[in-house]
Amino acid sequence: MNGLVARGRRSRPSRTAPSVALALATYLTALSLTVGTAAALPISSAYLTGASKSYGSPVTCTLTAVADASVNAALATTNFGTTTQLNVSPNSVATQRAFVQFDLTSCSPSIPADAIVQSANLRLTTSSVVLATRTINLRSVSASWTEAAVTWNTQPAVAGSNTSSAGVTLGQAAGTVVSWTATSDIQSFVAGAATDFGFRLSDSAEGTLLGVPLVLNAREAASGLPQLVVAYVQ
Amino acid sequence: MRRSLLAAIAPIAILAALGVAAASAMPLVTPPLGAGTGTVSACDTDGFTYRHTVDTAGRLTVVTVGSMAAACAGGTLRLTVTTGATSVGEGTAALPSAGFTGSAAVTLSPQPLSSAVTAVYVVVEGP
Repeated sequence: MNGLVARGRRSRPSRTAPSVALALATYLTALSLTVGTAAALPISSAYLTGASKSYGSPVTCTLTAVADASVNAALATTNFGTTTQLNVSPNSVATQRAFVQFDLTSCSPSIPADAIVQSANLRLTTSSVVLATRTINLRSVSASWTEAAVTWNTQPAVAGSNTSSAGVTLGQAAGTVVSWTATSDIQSFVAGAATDFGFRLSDSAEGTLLGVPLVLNAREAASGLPQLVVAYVQ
Repeated sequence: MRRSLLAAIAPIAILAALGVAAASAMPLVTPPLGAGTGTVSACDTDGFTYRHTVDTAGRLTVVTVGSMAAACAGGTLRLTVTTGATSVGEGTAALPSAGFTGSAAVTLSPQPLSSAVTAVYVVVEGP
């Protein structure tokens, strides 16, 4: 594409959306440009370069957590990385939060940096009946942590705003799947705009005096393991 | 009479022949005005890279185009994302003449759902 032969006046993309796409597609594919009539006006640009990328069919990748742990303000130096449960509680005395991480590089085929993430959903399963109606916030983690070492006192920093929230309702049975949308964060991780340190779950009403925990399955549980389902095109 | 006519025509014919020969030997500096052809070079020949930003509502908000050659500095980048043949988002970015890093972020308007985008088209023109 060292020389694009143009004829006459260049036509700029119009406001009419379909014609823009069609015009661009046509000339980009052919690596040549036909733009207007010869005698109309001379070409004024020093250069003109085109490129395009078409995305294929969506690919879905389902990942199981590679690390997860709860932290508890009442046991601020205790690590719960090997337990089979993840607790999230608003209780002002024993606030609990959960951390979970996935390895996006283990998707097969691997997700390229120029992929468009169409959806990404974090799915956790309740391990006991839900004892209170709650809203649980999801935030991306912005510093490293390890399952075997993280405690309340060493918990990593998180993003300044929620990625998404999900609700649970009093009386929901054990085995209920709770889902959070994480498309924006996964897109950032894939594109390299942010480092993937995983996610934190916390109750939206932290500080409640008599709050009871929401109990979810950890990756060490026998079933209903934490999952991240990513759909993308490349 | 015939000799005088030949004597008058011969120099004209010779001069005309010489003129044609001279014209054909001259280099063509510019294409004839209105001939309809000209060549515009490309500022980049090995393609671009693309990175995407999606907001918490799942909308594609920014496409960052990278790996642009330094020759594209000073130009204007126009980008369109489509669903099939239908444009669902467009944007432009000015590529600075000085300090051009080879990449540019294009904010889309409107901002389509990421799940709706099937292709991206880019044109760089300028300056």
